[in-house]
Amino acid sequence: MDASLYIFSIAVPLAYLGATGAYCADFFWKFEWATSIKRPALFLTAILHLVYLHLLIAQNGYPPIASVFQLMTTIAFTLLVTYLFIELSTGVIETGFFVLSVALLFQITSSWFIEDVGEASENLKHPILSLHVVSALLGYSAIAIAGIYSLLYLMLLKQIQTNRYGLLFERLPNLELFEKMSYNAVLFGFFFLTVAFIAGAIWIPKTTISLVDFKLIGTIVVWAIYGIGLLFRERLALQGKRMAVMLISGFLFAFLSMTALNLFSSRFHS
Amino acid sequence: MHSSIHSQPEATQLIAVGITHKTASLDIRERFAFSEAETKALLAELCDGIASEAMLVSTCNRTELYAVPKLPEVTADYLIDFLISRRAMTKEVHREHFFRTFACGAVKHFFAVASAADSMILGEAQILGQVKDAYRLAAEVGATKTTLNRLAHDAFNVAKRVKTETKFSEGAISVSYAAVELAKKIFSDLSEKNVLLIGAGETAELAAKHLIEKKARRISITNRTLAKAEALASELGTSNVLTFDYFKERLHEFDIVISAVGTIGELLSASEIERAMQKRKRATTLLLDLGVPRNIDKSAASLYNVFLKDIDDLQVIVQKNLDARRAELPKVERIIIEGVVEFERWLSSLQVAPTIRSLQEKFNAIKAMELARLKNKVSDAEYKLLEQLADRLIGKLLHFPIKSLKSPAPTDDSLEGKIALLRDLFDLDESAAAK
Repeated sequence: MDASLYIFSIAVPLAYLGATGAYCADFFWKFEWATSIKRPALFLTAILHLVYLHLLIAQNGYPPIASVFQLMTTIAFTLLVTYLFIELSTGVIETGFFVLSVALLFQITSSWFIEDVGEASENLKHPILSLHVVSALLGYSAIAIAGIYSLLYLMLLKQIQTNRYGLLFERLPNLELFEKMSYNAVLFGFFFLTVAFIAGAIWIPKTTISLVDFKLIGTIVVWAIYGIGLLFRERLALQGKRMAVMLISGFLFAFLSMTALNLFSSRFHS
Repeated sequence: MHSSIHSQPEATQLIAVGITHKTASLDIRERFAFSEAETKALLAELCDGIASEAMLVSTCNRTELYAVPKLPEVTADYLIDFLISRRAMTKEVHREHFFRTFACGAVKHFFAVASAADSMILGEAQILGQVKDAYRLAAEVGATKTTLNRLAHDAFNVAKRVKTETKFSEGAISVSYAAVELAKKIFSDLSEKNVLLIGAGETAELAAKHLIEKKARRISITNRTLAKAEALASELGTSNVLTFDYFKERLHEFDIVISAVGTIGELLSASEIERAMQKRKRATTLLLDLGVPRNIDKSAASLYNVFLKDIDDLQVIVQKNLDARRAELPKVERIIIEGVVEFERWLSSLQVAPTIRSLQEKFNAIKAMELARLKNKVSDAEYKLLEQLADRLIGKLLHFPIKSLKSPAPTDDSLEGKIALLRDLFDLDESAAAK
């Protein structure tokens, strides 16, 4: 790893830590300094991360998708960018701490364990595979955000139902907004997962990937569940608490099928 | 010595007396309230005789008189007796029902009143307007001068700081407002929600007004007496009135239902609500039961996507907000103290201003006299130089005495001592100080 890449592999998680800390201080204690620096800190983190990804591509000659830990830094970046888009488009600034905490976790894990994977397959440079991976990552990031928002929805719902009006009641946006944001995130995620599937289906005949690969099956299950949920949303009365529980379950299942199992495998698909 | 002319200016003799929710019962307070006309008459009478400035704050929770006396015999008890006599309540009301406070204490109390830190409901919004009204009335009859003008404007500034720098005025503190606060935590845009108001009484009206403040527009009203529903509808600017025996059939159309019907008991059963929920495909519904006894079957709370809250539930929000306001009191207190210090500094500057003026006049007179003796002995250019030299010397010589006079004195006595010493040392003209 060259010196600049090494410096950025440390600076990027530190920037995430700073931005997450600022959002945390703003949410819980409403410190003036935190309110004023949190968005600049988020932009700075995005810029540093972009440079870091660029350096990784320059060093390896392919996008950082060859190992689980390379994927993690890419996921952290897509989470951050997706959140930034949500914050700028909706004006909702109270959820930053919760989304960025997940991105921080991904980035710290990645920076800690990332290592050179040596000469990667030429396949990684193919545009169809890049489309497949980028779409899948965007899809999973959106699903992750929907899961986080659903979790916040449930926490706020619990406070309202039990008359324990705490900090979340005071600071978080309303339930309906969470429901809308989660739904839009799922729509966005489903679209990109579909694109990932189409690109993957085109790509599979050119590879030795088995069709009974657990991650492949797992992702198809996730995609199918979200698809059925979106299609029959009204008929199944998938709103409120039911929808939140479904989105959290979907997120956990997707996360497990995509990352946890990869810790025991040298390749993304078997 | 010059003690006769060094007595404190009238401003420091500010006296505040009054009855508040802390000192007297509602029974006494309500009989002690003054109308605008009575207030003006009372202030005019005071300023004609015994006070140089006066202001009366009269609300349902307090009647307070702030006065700068003209005569030394005008004490707090004198003012209390004056108030009691004007209300002809010498038998029912005694001096013990009144608080009394002076100088700094009176200033601090007035700032606390204007900031709602002394209110029965901490942080309430109405009191500042009432204090402004009291000041306006006093100003209209010419009862405010230097001290009370400054006091009132400083109080407005303190109240503004409390509002902007603390959370002392935040959160709902009435059940009807808490209901709206809760609705805002469930729905994102109240203007898109259909609201049904069951009942046309005061509670329903108040809740509807709060909802309208939060941009709710689609409000329908139903009431046992149709005429009352129509009257409230016209007051709220809506034409949607449902007959009382028909509203259940249209229950499914509403996202928010506020029921505030007294003495009637249960109006909506869980099965009726379940039927409505089926019709509206389980879309989120908020039921606010503000009736006593309750109007909605409490088992409806377990229905999917139904939020049912009664007065006790909403009272929890009110209590939480009141606790939050109480927690802000130290910050409010600090702002009030800063305001008092600022006011006292201004007051001190009033006290020392005549001495500073006398000192400067004395030195300038000496300069003029000495320069006149040299006028014909030096050239014009040299005279100008000498004049500049004299000005610089006076500036430097007076810098420290003036700075010392303007610096805060620990007590009134020490400030008086300083003034007396300076006047004695420099043999200053006594009549100037008295002006």
